[in-house]
Amino acid sequence: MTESSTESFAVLGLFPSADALMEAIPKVRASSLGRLEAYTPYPVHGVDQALGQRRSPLGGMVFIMGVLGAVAALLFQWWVSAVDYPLVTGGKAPSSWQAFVPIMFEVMVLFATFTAGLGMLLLLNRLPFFGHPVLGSKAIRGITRDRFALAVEAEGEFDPAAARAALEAAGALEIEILPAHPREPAFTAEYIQRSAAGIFVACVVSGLLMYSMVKLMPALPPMSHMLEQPRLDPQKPSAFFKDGHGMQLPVAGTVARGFLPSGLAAPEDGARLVNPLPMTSAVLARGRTEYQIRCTVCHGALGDGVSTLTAAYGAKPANLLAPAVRADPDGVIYGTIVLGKNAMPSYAADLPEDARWAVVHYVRALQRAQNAKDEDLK
Amino acid sequence: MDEKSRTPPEAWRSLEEREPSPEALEATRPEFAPGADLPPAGLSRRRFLELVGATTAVATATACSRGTRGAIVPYTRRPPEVVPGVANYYASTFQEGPRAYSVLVKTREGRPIHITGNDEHPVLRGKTSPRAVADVLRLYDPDRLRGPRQEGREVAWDEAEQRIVKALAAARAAGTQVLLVTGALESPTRKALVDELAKALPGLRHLAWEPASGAALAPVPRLGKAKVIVSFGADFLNGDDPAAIRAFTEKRRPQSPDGPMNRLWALEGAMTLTGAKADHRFPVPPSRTAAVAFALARALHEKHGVALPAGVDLAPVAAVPDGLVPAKAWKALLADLRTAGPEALVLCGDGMPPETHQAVGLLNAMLRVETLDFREAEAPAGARDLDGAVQAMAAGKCAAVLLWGVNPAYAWPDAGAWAAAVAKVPLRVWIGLQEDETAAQCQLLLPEHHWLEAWGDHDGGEGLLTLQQPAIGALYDTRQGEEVLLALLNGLGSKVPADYHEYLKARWRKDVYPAGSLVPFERYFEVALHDGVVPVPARPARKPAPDVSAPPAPSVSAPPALDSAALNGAAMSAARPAPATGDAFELVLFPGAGVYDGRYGNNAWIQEWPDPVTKATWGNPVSVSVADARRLNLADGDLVKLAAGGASLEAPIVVQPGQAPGVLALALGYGRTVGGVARGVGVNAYPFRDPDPGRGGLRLGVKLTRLGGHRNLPITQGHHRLEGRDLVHSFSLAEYARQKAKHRHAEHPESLYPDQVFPEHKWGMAIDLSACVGCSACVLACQSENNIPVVGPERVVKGYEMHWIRIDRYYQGEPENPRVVQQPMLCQHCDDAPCENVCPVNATNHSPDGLNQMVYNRCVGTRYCANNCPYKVRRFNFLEYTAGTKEPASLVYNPEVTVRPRGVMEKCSFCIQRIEDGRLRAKTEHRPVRDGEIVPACAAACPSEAIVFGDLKDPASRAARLAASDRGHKVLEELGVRPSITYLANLRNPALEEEE
Amino acid sequence: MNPDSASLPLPEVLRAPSLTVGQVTPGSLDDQVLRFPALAPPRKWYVALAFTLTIMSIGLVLIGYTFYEGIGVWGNNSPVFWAFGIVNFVFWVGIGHAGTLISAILFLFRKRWRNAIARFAEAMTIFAVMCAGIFPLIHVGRPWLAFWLFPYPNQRGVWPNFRSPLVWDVFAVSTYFSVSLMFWYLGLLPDLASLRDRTDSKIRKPIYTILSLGWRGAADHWRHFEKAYLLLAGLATGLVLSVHSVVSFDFATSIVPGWHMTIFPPYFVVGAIFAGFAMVLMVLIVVRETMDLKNLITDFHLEVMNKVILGMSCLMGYSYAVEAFTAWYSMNTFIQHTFLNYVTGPYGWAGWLTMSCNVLLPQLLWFRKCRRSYPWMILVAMAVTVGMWFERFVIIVISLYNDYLPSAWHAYKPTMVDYGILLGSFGIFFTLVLLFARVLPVIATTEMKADLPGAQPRHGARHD
Repeated sequence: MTESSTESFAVLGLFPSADALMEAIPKVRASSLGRLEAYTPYPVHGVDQALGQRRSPLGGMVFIMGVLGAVAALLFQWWVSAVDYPLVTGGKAPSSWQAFVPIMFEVMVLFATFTAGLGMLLLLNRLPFFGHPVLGSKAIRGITRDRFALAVEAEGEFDPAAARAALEAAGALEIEILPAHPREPAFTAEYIQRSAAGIFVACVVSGLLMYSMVKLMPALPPMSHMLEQPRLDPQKPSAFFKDGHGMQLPVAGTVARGFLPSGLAAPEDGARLVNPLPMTSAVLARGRTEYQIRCTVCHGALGDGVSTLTAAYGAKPANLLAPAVRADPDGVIYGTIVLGKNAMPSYAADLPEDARWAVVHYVRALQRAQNAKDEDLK
Repeated sequence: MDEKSRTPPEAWRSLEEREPSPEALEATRPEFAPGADLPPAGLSRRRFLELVGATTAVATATACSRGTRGAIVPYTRRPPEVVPGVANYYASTFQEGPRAYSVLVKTREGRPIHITGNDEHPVLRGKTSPRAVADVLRLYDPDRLRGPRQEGREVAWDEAEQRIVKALAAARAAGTQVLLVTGALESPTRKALVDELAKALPGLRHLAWEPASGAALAPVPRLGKAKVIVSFGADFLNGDDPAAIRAFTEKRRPQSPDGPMNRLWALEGAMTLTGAKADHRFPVPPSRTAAVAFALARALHEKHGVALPAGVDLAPVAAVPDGLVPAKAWKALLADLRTAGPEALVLCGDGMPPETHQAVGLLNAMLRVETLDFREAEAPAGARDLDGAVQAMAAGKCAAVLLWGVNPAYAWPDAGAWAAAVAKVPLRVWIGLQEDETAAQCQLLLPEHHWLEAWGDHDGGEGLLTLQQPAIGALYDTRQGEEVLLALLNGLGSKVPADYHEYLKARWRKDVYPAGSLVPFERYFEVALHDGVVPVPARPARKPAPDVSAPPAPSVSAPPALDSAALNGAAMSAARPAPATGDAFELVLFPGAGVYDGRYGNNAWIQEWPDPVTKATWGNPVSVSVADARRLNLADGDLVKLAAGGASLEAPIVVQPGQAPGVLALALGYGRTVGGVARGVGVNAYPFRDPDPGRGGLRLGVKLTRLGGHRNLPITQGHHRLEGRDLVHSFSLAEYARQKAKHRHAEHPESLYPDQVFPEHKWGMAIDLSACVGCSACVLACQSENNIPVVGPERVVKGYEMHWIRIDRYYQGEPENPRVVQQPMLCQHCDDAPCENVCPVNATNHSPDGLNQMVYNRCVGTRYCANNCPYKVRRFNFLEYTAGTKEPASLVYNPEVTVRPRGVMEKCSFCIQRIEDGRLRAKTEHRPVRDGEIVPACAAACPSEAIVFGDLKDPASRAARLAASDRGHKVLEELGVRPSITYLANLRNPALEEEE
Repeated sequence: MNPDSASLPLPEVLRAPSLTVGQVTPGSLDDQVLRFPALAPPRKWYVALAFTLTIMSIGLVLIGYTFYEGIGVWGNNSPVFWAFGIVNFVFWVGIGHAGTLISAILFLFRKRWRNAIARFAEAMTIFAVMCAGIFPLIHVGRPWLAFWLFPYPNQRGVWPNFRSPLVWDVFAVSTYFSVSLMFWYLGLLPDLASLRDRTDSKIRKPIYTILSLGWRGAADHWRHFEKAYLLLAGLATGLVLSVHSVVSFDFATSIVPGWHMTIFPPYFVVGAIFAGFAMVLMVLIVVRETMDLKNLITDFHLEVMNKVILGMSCLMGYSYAVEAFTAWYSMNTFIQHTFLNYVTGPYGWAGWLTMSCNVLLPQLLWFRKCRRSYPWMILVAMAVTVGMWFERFVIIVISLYNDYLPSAWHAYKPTMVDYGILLGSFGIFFTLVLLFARVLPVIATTEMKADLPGAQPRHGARHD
């Protein structure tokens, strides 16, 4: 091997066996030339003490995380079942905790395991790291096979020669000097660019995947989400019926239960009917509401037939205050509501029985209001 | 294109064109350079824009996922009675043979979706037959004939009717016969119409033919008044007559062990629902029933001094039934009848031989029973009529034959003879709903309205007329059969309205409308339509009507006078020892529980409806008695060959406990050869029917040979023993008295968890097993209400049937003559439901009003809940049954119930849509929900009201009171799942303490 | 070499010098075990792979068919709502128990003989759990919604039901899978480093480099590594006991007669280890024969495993006895009926098959001859595998087809699809095994090295 004057990272001495290594460590350590580190193909008991390394703190970490996992699991299940969406299943109270134990245990183990595994790798051992000089050394082949290496790593001002001497004295078979290659700064422009590009690509890909998942999945055949129902819902078209309407009209002449037709042929037939409702303020109020909803548009708020629609439609709604109408018996007005008259459609579908009579009362009230006699004012 | 390349055209208009001059060529040369009109090579701007557009369009298309939700098509002018999303009900009438059922048709947006009984009917009181409920499906049957056809080609109605009129006119001129075959004519107006046609057409020979039921409904039993009922093969509990079931069961649910409770003795060959309910049942071959009945009469006369009518001599008959009825029981029966006297009632089955009918008539007369009324009804065509008709046709005497709603080609006892005869008729007209075997023999096929599209009136019995009004306009180019006759009448010169609606009103105005009524007729008719039922105007009764209180006086007539000569003859023949037939069997032929005489064969609900006795679906296996099965080493599903005279058939068997040895039973109405659903299901038993309808129910001398083959039967209940498990309680009155105290069901087992609180309601049920006769009407009502799919025979074999409610039927005692218990089984809606806490996705959970809810679209189908359901009432869509449903079949779906796809668990929801409907109605009317206001489909359909639904939180509710009864128990209570359904123990009233 | 001493937890000083045959040095060990990835597989390997791939594809096609048509193409019916799907699931999860047991529990017990077989067993664990994981997914009615079983925030605002044993399963099995994977990978790490440094191949070098995360065997790393491995072993031990207990809760917490049993958790765990060992044994025999590793996986190893199998078999017998006793003693007609059905009725043969395969046949292993001869041990191992599958069949199907209401009873008959998918799962399993055997070290060389005679310094502090 060649003596190089360049800045060196460490001097590596290879030993044939664990024993040889163990014997070498104290000697080299005594000469305290730099930081000592051993590289072995398998864990050699006692090396860590010999090198003066502390015991691993992993146990504590795992314990804490385990407890954390258990508590988190319990709280999460309780929150979901009792707070966020409480449901009674099997007669158990939403907050009954007994059933949460198994998952509590599993999550505890999960947390603990990942702490142990990843904590060891990422935190304590700083892996993955592919840039370590030892990986580049010739010795590494032996190290992962059956050789035991003791490295004197540079610390402060470092004298490779002395280290080499010390190792040879300790009985190293081979000596290798590892050059320290300069670390390039972390956040260079292209590094940032590269990572940015990577992130961008990742976003696009995942976004597209998500999109296709959400949009395509529900469309594929056997996957039913019960949105399309084979039944015929109200107000839906139907290719089956000739008129294309899902909703069909009752057959003429049939009588549905609870819908006896008013046996009126013409409004005048209503003459014999008498208004079943008393003229109370409640009835009048009802009548006003219905009147304002259905009638005002044409007959006007006062019932004088002056309406917003007149101009637009050229229709001439009846003036309810006209003497003729005032002369009509209640039943005729009722009949008009039920059957309609001239341009006026039937309101039977929209006004139930009592509402019609209430409107009749209200119309009477309007008529009287517009033609108030003196005694009304008293 | 230049000159050289130009060849002269073959066809040329002018010489110039053929031999063009240069300038002509110049003129023909294209204006632009070749390819000038093509886009530039490569991606043109236009192309690019197209592509961009297309891409955007496609992207947008994919973006709007899950399809469009479709257009909204509202009413342009909403009819007063219809509010979208709110159901309407129309009173109408379902007619089947001689029976008419007044029904309520539930429509949504003018479309029938469900059928229940008419609650205005004073006798039926809102109940109806299961087949009426199921028949809504036939309205939407895709196999319906959609327009008139002539020799297989479509034809206009007028043309078709002209052809018939011509033929009839010719026949009238020539004085030849015209044959009109219809079903029973119980409808007064239809009858009037036929009479009118007969007047206009003297040569008309009318045949009112019912293939499956021989006798008319002359005797009307008053089961409500009867203390002791003896049934000789009379199956009055099979669901055809809801009123009978109600009247009978009202006397079966005593509040205390000391009755009052009626007693039912059944002597029958095949097991029936009536026999299953009997307190004493004796398997008696139908051919021997006459002997037993006469023996009864004689014993009554000699031992108990009951007077015989004059001239009747029972010397030839034995006074004791040899070995058919145990001596002890025989004595008890005699004593029972004697003490009951006028309150006794002896009934004879439709299919029983005439001798038995005679003997039963004698018994009733001797006992002077007051439990029997007789109603005027003309007997349907007898053997002679049928025979005559065939003779006439065969002799070529018939100019035309009109077949209206009948299927002789399939159901005629001797179909071959029929076919040969009918072929000789020049004009053969078929009027019906779906093309059937007979349609194939006819030239003119005239499609008929389904009854839900048609007008009509019917004899509701009990002195009532019921009206039939359409619940939807005609779906296809069809007319109702009456209108065809009207058209013929018009064609033959008599003036009648072409529209049957008009004709009906006219006749009612004339005959039914009470003279001198203050109400105008229109109003009267509207009210009649609204209620669906009106009392018959008083007519001179031959016998003073008993009482005029509701139910209105039946149109009664005197019981048929006893003809002593005939009686003695019958006694003689009954006394004669049965001809030694060796190992021949006697075959009981009865109308199929679902398909009736075959007319409902194409109804998939009906086909998958388990036969109430055998639980067989999709077919009619031959019932064989236990003893014979053991003797011939036969097991369920083994194929056998039946042969008698010329007829023979091959069918699988089912071993039927309680069936008399030497007796076989086979349902009619199967083995159709036409119809998408009906084809090839079961075997046709009609060839075995005696040509004489009076004897049609029984065929003697049937040879049974084993074929060796085996078929897996689609039976929904494969195991019939209780295995000594305490699942269903059944007591005799004495036991009830003894167990009363200790039977009251135990307190709930301890629970780790605090009890649930139900703030408002706690829905529950009480099911009285003593009232349940197992007619299975509930099953069909549930199927119609809850969009329950049909899975088909091979999947029923696999155990995939989907019914939410089933009738568990258990046999107790020795299989030769077991006792039977029926137990409706549906979701128990347990408070501590074991199905709920095992569902990983919360798809099934508990509602605050005590319902065990199933959230279909949350279900991923782990099926864990079904495993953990001790009642096995959860149903899983193992395959896709519904997605393919197209109109019209899909129109029957209830819009208020989700249609479930494959992979989803489902189960009884207590008809939650009805519960919500009721709660909302109460809420809008600012009042609490009334007890009995919310009725699930099963309870609504139950003729005996064995199923009672209600709020258990309200101690006054009927359900709560029943649940508190000392007969109450819960199934598998020891599991601590706290079911919401309480079963009331079944009670029997045996004359002598049966040995356990 | 004294086998008995190996089965006692002795302090290291007194440990038997070697569990290997002949001269094995760390170097020779690497040369022997780590050469396979570099070698071109023999023809018979390709034949085997083709075979397993075929079976696997049959299974996958049938799974697709089921997915499209629905569960109706299986034999499942009402009331037997669970059948092959769940039977296979429980079976495979069971197979998956041997690995972690060997690597974790035996590690804690300082069973040095585990080193030779741990790696393979762990691999089989992972593959088995993969196979098991398929079934819960494909057996649901709407597999495309199976993800609803996971508690993730969603716009529906609905969560899974944490009272359902199926959700416990989701957690248990997925935890078990990830923990096993972690455990396996950590053990693999140093070996991967060795592989990395052995090869110069353009393809394998970078792969191994990445997989080994730049492991360099520093003493500073080893101390954390050993600690982590120890902790993982401890955790995995608890887990391996819990997982099959949770799986057994699917049945034990239900009310189906025959399922509702307090003995189920231990009973299932024992059964799992039992079946797992049998499977590992069979595969190991093939491996040591075809890859001539006889000197590392010695007859002694096989014998010890057979002893474990024997012990487990006795425990199974005990469990059966306890079950039967419970049924009889319960005075519960439903449970009694079910247990009679196990040995009588249309499926009685399955019950007898189970007991003879799981209890009677393994008794052969009392004889040293059977423990050391291939035919016998293979016979027993196969019997155990079959028997354990049928045990689950008995528990699940026979309990279901006759439960509370006789009216609902219905027989069960599997379809070709059922058989095909079961076969396919074996195809998947063995395909993975075959691939593993060629690309990764089948024996934990690092752990073996650390255990070779003279591997550890004669003096110096002892601790783990």
